[in-house]
Amino acid sequence: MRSLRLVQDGPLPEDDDIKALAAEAPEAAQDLVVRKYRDAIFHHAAYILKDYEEAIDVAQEVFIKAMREERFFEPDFKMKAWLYRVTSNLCFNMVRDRKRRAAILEGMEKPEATDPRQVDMVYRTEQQQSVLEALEQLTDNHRRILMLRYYSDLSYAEIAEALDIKLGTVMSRLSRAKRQLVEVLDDLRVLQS
Amino acid sequence: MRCRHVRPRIVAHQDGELAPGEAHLVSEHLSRCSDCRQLERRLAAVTPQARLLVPPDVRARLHARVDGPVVRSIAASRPPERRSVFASLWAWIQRDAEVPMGALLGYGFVLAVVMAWGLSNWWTLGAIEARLDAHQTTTAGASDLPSPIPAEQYRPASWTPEEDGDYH
Repeated sequence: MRSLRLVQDGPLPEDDDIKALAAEAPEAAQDLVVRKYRDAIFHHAAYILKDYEEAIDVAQEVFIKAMREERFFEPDFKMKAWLYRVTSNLCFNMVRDRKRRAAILEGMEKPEATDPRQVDMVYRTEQQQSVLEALEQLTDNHRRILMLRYYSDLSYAEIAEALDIKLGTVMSRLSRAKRQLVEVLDDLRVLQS
Repeated sequence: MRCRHVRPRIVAHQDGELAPGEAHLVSEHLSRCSDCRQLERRLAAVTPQARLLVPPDVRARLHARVDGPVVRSIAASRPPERRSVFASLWAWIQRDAEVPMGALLGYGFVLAVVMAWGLSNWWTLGAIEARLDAHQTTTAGASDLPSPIPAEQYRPASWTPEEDGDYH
């Protein structure tokens, strides 16, 4: 198994520099934004959707929306937070629609074998696989904030911007999410023993 | 710092997101409290740490489909988004009006209460006027409604039969 490495073609500028460039060369600024955030947005979508192709679809849709957003290059606009917020919303909408379709299909013929190109995750320990399974049993809010912090490596301040909540709320919500994760794992261990 | 103050901060402490002073207090408490230390170990053990494996062909497809010119052409080919008047107004309020949401909700609540009070008074007044109109209409020529008390028969609440000398 190979571990993932993010490959960048060159040093990418800060968001403020990209915004300054947008005034003179908007298309070049758009290309920089895509290059800078493409992989991170794709990874974030893949963690939620567990499907590469759907994650690519979502990543493309996110950047299409970004290019149609009039405020995107305004000085006060939080680009990174906005991109993650839109990604999360699109992904959770897809997951919800997927569950609805599954509920409808449940009473019909059995579906074909699952797509073999499901997302592969590498785990450091066997417990991490249990953690991933336990994540599915958390509430949407808790799962979303855990993924933003530990899979997408966003800081608390960036999470606050992405979810449009206060920093204190990030702290308390993450604390509750992890405690809920502990409880779910304990329940899973009880069930398995 | 007490346990109930430290426990909500353990995760932030592990993530290095506490201010230095606060982090020092939490560390100090953890060095003294075995229960909180145990909670800290359990929380650390469930920190998600999986990483994604992306096959090269998937990465190539991602770069081909999510590329500046490709995305730009798709964005340009789509029709402009239509928003309802309410959605546009709401977006303006959130973005440009610079009114705190709490103030907006407070103003809206007060306005709703005043409007409800005014409407209730208007309805009550209208009902009273309708009843008076109906009464005047019927007293003009109606035979089945009771006639108003004649003035000579009016008695105030303090009246006693002895006052008129009519009491036997």
